[in-house]
Amino acid sequence: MTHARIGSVRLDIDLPLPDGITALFGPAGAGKTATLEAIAGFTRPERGRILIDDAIVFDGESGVNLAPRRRRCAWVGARDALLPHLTVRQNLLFAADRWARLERTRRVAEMLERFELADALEMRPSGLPPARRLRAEVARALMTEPKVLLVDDRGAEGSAGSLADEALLRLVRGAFDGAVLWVTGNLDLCYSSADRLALVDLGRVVGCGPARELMEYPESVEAARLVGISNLYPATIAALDPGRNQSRLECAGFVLTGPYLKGHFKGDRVWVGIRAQDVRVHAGELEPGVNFVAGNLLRMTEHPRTVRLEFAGAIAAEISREQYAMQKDNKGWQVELPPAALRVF
Amino acid sequence: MTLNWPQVWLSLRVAGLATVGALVIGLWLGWLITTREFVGRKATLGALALLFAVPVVILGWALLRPAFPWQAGAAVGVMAALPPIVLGARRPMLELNREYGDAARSLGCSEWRIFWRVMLPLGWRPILAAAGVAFARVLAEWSIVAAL
Repeated sequence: MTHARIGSVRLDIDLPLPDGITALFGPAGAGKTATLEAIAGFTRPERGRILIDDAIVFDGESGVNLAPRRRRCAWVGARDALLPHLTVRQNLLFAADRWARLERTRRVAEMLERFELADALEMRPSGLPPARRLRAEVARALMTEPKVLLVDDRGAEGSAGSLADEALLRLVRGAFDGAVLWVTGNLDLCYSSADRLALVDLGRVVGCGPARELMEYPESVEAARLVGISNLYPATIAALDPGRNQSRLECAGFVLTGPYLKGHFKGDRVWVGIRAQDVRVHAGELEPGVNFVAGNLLRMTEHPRTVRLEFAGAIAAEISREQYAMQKDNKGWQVELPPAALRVF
Repeated sequence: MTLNWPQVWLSLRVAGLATVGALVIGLWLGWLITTREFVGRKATLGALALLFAVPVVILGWALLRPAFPWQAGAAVGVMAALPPIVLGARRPMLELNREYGDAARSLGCSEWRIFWRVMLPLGWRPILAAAGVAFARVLAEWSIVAAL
């Protein structure tokens, strides 16, 4: 169990790291890299405390600041740091110098096998594609038998914000059972492969929890924004009916029916959010129905598999191309916000 | 024109010894300056730049008495060779440290090991170039001192 707290002007992170993969997600400049560097010991926080396995590696008050090489953090930075004058195998050997030669060779061979790098063994890093280099670097970092693995995987251009894929994270899971903190810009990867997700924005943790649960039910507006819920409206609770498990939410331009909201009172100001993918669109004039809103189409953007429709009142809907093909000649539009898909915070 | 071969040989010996001495001190100093924050880091760099500006002839004139051994000449030559080596090797060292230093440190490498296994194998080219400049400088300055 690792507990990291870095306090400074820009960064205020309080993040427990249990074993398993924790993905760290946030916009550029949110403090993801700074967090990683502080845990690894490359930057010195002004205040706070960092514990790794109940051992204090940094404490602002008592002035404890362990050198990076004594922290037993495996760290893979955003820039590729495989030594270019050594082959992949030699790079791993470089990290394994604390064992005797036979043991070292055996461990390196095992790690290369495990990370499916056996074919790249005698290749120099420059001969490998970036994703394979990252894989080799993670393998090298794990050679030291660390307590925590920190990976800053901001990815190259055109790689959806991440160089890693599900396969690499599966390999990491198989090779290492400690805590992993994986900075990534790829939410799909967080959903498919991370156990936990920590969302950071402006140097603060705005959401932290089991990855899928957090993406499905974010705790705050900031978290909702980060996990891609683009339709967000301030609302007032007009009515609450626990018996029928219903609530009435008054937004700026429309009234919505949502599920009963535990822990809220009538008159509370809340935020209502819904994913663009969950919004349904129908043809014709407005009919009375649950959460039907008249749609005034402003813009349409085509994506490879979907079409994004933007309506007046800041409602966006993302529908499949087939659905759009059927509806594109609509005279009028109406938008349905299904109550089950509404998120209230 | 005939060359005074013993004189040429002497100059080469002085310049060679001075360059080797300055390499040992200069690489250590350079690595220290790039990897560590210490009080007087900027001042050291300033002093080196100043040493670059001062003609070594003056230093030699002040430090060396008539009929000095050539080894003493080499010792003064180290001062002439130090600035080009430290200032020339600083930039590549800075870059290598930024690229590979932190990763190597997190792998548990000591500074010593990083120096030998990372810095030297990857940075020997610019260091060699800096050493060449240093050698030329000592040789030039020495010939002036010797001629006086």
